[in-house]
Amino acid sequence: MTVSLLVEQLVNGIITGSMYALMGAGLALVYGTMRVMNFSHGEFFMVAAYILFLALGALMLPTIPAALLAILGAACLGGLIEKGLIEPLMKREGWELGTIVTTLGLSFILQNGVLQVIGEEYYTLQYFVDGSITLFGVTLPYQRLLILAVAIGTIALMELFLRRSRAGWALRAVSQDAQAASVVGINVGRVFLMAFALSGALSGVAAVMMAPIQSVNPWMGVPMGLKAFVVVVLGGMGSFRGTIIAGFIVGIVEALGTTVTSSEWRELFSFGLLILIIWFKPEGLFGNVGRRA
Amino acid sequence: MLSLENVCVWYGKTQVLWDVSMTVQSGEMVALMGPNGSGKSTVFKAVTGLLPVRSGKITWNGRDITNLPTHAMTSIGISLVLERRRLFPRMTVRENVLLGAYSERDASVIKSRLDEVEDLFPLVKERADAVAGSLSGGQQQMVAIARGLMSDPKMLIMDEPFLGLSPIMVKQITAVMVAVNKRGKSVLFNEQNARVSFGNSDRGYLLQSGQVVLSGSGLAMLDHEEVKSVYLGH
Amino acid sequence: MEGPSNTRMLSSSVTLRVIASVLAVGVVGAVVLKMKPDAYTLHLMVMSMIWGVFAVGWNLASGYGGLKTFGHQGFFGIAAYASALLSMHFALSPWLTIWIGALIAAAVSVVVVAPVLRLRSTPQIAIVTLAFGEIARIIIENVKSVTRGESGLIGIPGLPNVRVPFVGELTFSAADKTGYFIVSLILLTTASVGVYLLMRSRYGLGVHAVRDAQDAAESLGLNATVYRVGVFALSAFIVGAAGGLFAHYLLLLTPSDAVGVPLMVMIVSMVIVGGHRTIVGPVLGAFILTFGAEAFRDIEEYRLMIYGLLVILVMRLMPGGIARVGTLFHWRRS
Repeated sequence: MTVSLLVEQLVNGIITGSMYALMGAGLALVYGTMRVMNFSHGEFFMVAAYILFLALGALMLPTIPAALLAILGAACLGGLIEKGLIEPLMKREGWELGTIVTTLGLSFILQNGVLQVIGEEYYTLQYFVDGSITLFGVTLPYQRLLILAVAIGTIALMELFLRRSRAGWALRAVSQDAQAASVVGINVGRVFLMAFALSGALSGVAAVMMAPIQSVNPWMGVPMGLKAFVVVVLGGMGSFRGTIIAGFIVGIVEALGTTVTSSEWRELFSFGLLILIIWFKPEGLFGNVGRRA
Repeated sequence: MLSLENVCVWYGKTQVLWDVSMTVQSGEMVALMGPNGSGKSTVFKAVTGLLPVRSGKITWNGRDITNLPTHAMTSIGISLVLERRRLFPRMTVRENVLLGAYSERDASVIKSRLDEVEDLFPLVKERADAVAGSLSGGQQQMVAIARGLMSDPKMLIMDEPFLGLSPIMVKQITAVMVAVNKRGKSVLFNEQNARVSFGNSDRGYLLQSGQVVLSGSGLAMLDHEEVKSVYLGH
Repeated sequence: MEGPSNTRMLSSSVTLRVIASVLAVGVVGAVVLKMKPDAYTLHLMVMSMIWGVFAVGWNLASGYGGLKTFGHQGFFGIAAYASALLSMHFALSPWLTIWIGALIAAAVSVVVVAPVLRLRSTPQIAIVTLAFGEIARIIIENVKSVTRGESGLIGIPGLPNVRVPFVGELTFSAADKTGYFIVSLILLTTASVGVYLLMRSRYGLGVHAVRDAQDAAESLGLNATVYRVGVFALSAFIVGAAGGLFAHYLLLLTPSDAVGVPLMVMIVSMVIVGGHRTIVGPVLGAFILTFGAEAFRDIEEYRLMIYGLLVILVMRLMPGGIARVGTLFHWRRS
């Protein structure tokens, strides 16, 4: 194996990892505030990619409005799921299993719904930007660099939102102590809704960036959703920064792993890494031991 | 001001409050005393919407606030300091205190309240950037009260403010409560110790098994035969 | 705890119940066979019962044991492939390899449950077990030289015929499924009765205690680990037995049918619809969903969608599942 191949894989790992980080961050946001694990999280990604595909194709919108529409669509889907399916379950006993099973059922409804309505064709989208750059013998298409730039920009924006905005403070307060948050005047129900919508939007960003280098199909959300789970558990169940770092780690481990084997084994590396780490650190890489649900 | 009329509360299938009626007048300091499990905290939770009221009525300045959601309390002038402080553990002292003014959007108003609170609790300024979870129990209670005051409430409700504190801290917190009360705010709190409860308050209520069994002025309560024999050990 | 005489009365009523249920199942089974159902109906019944065994096994771990696992399809697949491969390459009788396969699944489950035991939150357990199930699928799918991957493992022997004294020859073939019907009925009854008796035994009390309050149970001197590992391994064994029977009944194995996430979703749907943490619920759910899917055969491609919808509706409208609808009315009356 040459050094340049290794570097190329490393860079690819970082780029894919940045997408895992976005997917994981959305899932972690919901888990952190509500202690709900959304098993239909990957479907945000899939639905957003289809919205982008339809907006570009059927509506013939320019790239940026189409992308914004896809992100907004995923955010609305998140809000609808929270209001329609999650909120009614939250007040019940057994809501932990109830929400898992409900979102699992929903993911199958969405996958098969899209399959029935739009069909099982694999659609491809054009790159947003053409061309590539060669650095130290490694060739990088601009599209991939754009992915990384957008991911980092989004993460920075989220960090700013969480630290500086009133809504971001409310989110952090609810994730640390929901009852205390309601006592200071925060409408916890509305924060839950916001968490779900944001989670959808973050997956929407990932979908917009990934759709051109993958193909748009009803099952495209499954591997992304699974990776988001891995990243959230590794990142310490709800820690925003931990999840971001875990996303990059999983991306890199996968990329290097597939270099030694082949792409069919890709998933094995992330799941294997998860089980290995959980074995030694049940609270995850960056988990807070006191942060039990 | 605040008045409860025949309030009944249930935890699932068990009734925990039985026709509780009480009042807190403007500017009063009122203590709620009773043994463990007598329903003292439940009264506060019912008032602030943390537990649903099954029957009865709660009014605030004549307005019916029965089962009003918790997050609406600060904007009507009621602030609750939860049992065991319940600060946001991974936020700084400053962030915790500022969150107390969440319902207020005017930055200059928030600033003047912060100045006032820092005046009352120098700790809030000194340890502004410390992570709340790293403070001692007594310090956390100070910050929790500071946070409760940031909404500029007309009434401060304190659930078990002395729980787990050293006698010195109990004295300090009591002084703070008196100071807050002197600034014209009503204070409603609960406590198991009769001397601490009634020694500083205008009026008091004695709760047993979810029912009000005795009420009167603080001094009269301390003097009452039952309080003396059961709670003061005379 | 009950006094000694009380315990005896309780256990004798349990014995009576078990005997009555087994007799009833036997009578129903005999009546069904007497009615000479067509091969397809019989096939659906066999499938319902195989899924029923899987559902009973999953319910033991997730409902009674409190370990909300989403990776049991891994044990089903491991046992199915192990039994198929052993019978194919070592010329062992499937009557034996089914049990070897189930034992292998149970052994693997002990390794899998080790890291899971240290997790306390349900979502973490769900994700880690799901990761394990996916690892099993990826390996089975990609070791093509052994499993033939998604093209499917073929040439699996069926169960050999057996002579039953006083009854005659029991045949196992595509044409005559009577043998498979009887074997799956026996397996399902044994699994259900086994779980029922287990949960009423001293060990079962320990399982209950550990699920409801691990710390409290430990302070009573119950070794939580022993109970949780035991329940998990037994449930993997039951699921594994279902997997083995599945392999030697369908004679064809593909990773997507025998270890995929859709398989898990189907079983979870069955248990939730039938009644989580009940004895008859999983079996009821398996029959309802298998035959229900058949009623909608024309829209087969909507099957998973309908399962999803059904689960959401049941969670919302009757969280206890169908098996608890009766008790719901009972409570209301009293």
